[in-house]
Amino acid sequence: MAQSAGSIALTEAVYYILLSLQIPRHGYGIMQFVQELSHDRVQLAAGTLYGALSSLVEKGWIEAVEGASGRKKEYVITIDGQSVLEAELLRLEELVANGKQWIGANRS
Amino acid sequence: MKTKTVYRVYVDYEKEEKWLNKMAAQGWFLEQFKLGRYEFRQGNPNEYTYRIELLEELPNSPKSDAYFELLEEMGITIVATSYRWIYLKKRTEEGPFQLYSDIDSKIRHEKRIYQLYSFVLYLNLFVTFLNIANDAVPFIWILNFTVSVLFIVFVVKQYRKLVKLKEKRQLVERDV
Repeated sequence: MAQSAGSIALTEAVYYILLSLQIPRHGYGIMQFVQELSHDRVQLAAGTLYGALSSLVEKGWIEAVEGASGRKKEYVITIDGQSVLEAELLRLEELVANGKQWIGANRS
Repeated sequence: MKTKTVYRVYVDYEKEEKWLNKMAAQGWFLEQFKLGRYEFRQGNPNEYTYRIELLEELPNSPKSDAYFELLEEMGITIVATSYRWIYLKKRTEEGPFQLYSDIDSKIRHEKRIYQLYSFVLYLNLFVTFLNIANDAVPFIWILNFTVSVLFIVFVVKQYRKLVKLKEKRQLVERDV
């Protein structure tokens, strides 16, 4: 996973879901956390969130764990997921750095 | 409480959704649905917003259970289910009601519908040929064939919808 991670580009939804799963959360908790983090900009809809969660479990980037409340299913990031997320952060930093350097470069 | 029953046949779920929301705007809220039979209850106009979705699995499967739990927590109520289709409502005052917030997930949903229509089309064509091969009365295979032609139209329409979404997705992953 780690060697291929450098060339992966995550969607915004997947990036924020992985980020929110640094600690175990259930579906609704993820949605609330992402909404809060992004100051209401990213509102994960139920179908989108649920579809992403099942794909991420299938990929092995997150896993279901026994929830603290017992009944509700919670998810948490896996080691593979963590390395994908860290590689993505580097990619995003590169995008931002290049953007800052080049946007409007021909004006000054 | 006033109720009314309306009989209609929809294949395009987006048109059906629009109609349900138009009814809701007039104060008629879907309470039950069964094979073309819609039952409405009267209430305050616009109290609820409706959405229709094709699930990956049947509503009574364990996988759907987890999804239903999430819907409930988001204040979304299941009004009716029909095969893999579900009819959902949410109080309008609680904000906009969408089931898919990016293009990727919209594509996956529309693809499920495309596959369903394709399946119905192939099944109908297969039955048409069986009927012809077995020298069935023309009425029967002509009926099958007509349904097939209808579904060719639905499949092509759905395919175009998918192509449009995929074109959009090449530039952005979310739009308003």
